[in-house]
Amino acid sequence: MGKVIVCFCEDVTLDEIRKAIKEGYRDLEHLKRLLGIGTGPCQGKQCLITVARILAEDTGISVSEIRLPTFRPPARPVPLGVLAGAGLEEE
Amino acid sequence: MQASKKSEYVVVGGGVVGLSIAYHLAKLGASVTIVEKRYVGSGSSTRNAANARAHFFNREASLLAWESLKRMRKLSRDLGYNTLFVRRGYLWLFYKEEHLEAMRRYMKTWKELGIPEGKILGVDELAKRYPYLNLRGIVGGYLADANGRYHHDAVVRAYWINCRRLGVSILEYVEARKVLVRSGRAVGVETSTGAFEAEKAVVLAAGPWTRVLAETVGVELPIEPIRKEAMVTEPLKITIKPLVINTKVNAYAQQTLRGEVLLSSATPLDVPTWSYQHTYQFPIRAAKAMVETIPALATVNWLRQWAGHYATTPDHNPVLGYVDEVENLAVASGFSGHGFMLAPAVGEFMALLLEKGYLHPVMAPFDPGRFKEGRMIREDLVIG
Repeated sequence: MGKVIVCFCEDVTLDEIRKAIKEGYRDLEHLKRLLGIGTGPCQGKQCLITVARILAEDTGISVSEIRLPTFRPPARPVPLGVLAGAGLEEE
Repeated sequence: MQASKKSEYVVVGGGVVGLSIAYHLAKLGASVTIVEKRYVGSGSSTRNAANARAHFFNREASLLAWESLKRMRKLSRDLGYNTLFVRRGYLWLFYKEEHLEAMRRYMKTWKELGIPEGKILGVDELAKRYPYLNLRGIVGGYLADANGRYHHDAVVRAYWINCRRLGVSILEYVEARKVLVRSGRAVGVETSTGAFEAEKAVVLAAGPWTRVLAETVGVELPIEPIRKEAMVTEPLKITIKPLVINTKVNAYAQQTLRGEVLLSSATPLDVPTWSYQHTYQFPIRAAKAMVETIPALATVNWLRQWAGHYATTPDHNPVLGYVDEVENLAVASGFSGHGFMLAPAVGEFMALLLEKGYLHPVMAPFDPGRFKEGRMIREDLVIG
């Protein structure tokens, strides 16, 4: 099997994820910080659930017990100029 | 692995400060257990902006920060793991002549202390060096190019790996609930998974939660969890080299090591709260301030915002050392926004105090007793 890309934004492969889990990084937060998964333009919308599944398979922890990183705004990328000129009341 | 429930030291908090203290203790031969209520680095260590400077507005803090910066610069070599330090400098932009004058006075102080004093840049020089800046209203800048940036996750990982190598037991998702005291002496910590005994000392390095744990044994520490926010954009080619500080509104922008633009700004919502909830007001304020300073940022896409804590004390300086009220109870907290950059020196000095009984003179002014005794460390200049 060739390379299996799991995080499309940061080009992180299945092999890299499995290797990190084997090294003891058994938390999505640690995998995110080691490999950069979920830190690109989609902020994990495409990959984090898949990575949770891989983590569950490799560690025997149930998927429902895998803690997901916090999802934060914005829902999709927004240019800073839009915010700067937003004309919204700040307070 | 079955964790040992008895060790010479129990450190509460698996952030960079706790890890650095544990690493230095273990290097001196001590046995150490770290209890961390979430995952390693989960508090301010993963939420900070990853900058280190030596230039503070009083002697005590500048000396401690300089000791730490020197260690941060060679951390990759000392820990055998690339922590990605780069010397990109801090650039303060001033809108008032009096602030430039104040910086000239501080430069003299820093020089006296042996800290590289940096230089004042006039408006023409700023325009030449940093063509992306909008200089309207700016009277000059101060560049401290000894300062720099590291990768905070890499630093945490470097300490973590070295702690494990030296036999430190690091327990994640174990929450400390109470300091255990017998005849006026700290002897361990009660946690969500039972008691952990400490033969020599209990060390609280739990950020703002340090206050809550100290209260369980009647020790009052004036540390407030002030929420601060930050945001980040898509990555770009590195163009903005220094950390650019807009002193008019107390906002800054920088490029991370992978090129994302990280922005932050003071806001009226920087209040004491345990919440990590983000606000909608923050990104507007930070974007306004920094798009004004660096107009080309207007077209850059924002990807994420988050919140963290400044564990803030009344004099904005850390609380380091043994508390007076309970024997064998030590704290390292209250960094007021500067804990990560201070961790390399603080870990080393705390370990010397705990294991060797040596109080490093650079750490001595930060003792926990100073608040009660009215020996506050004066911050002479707060810009913004």
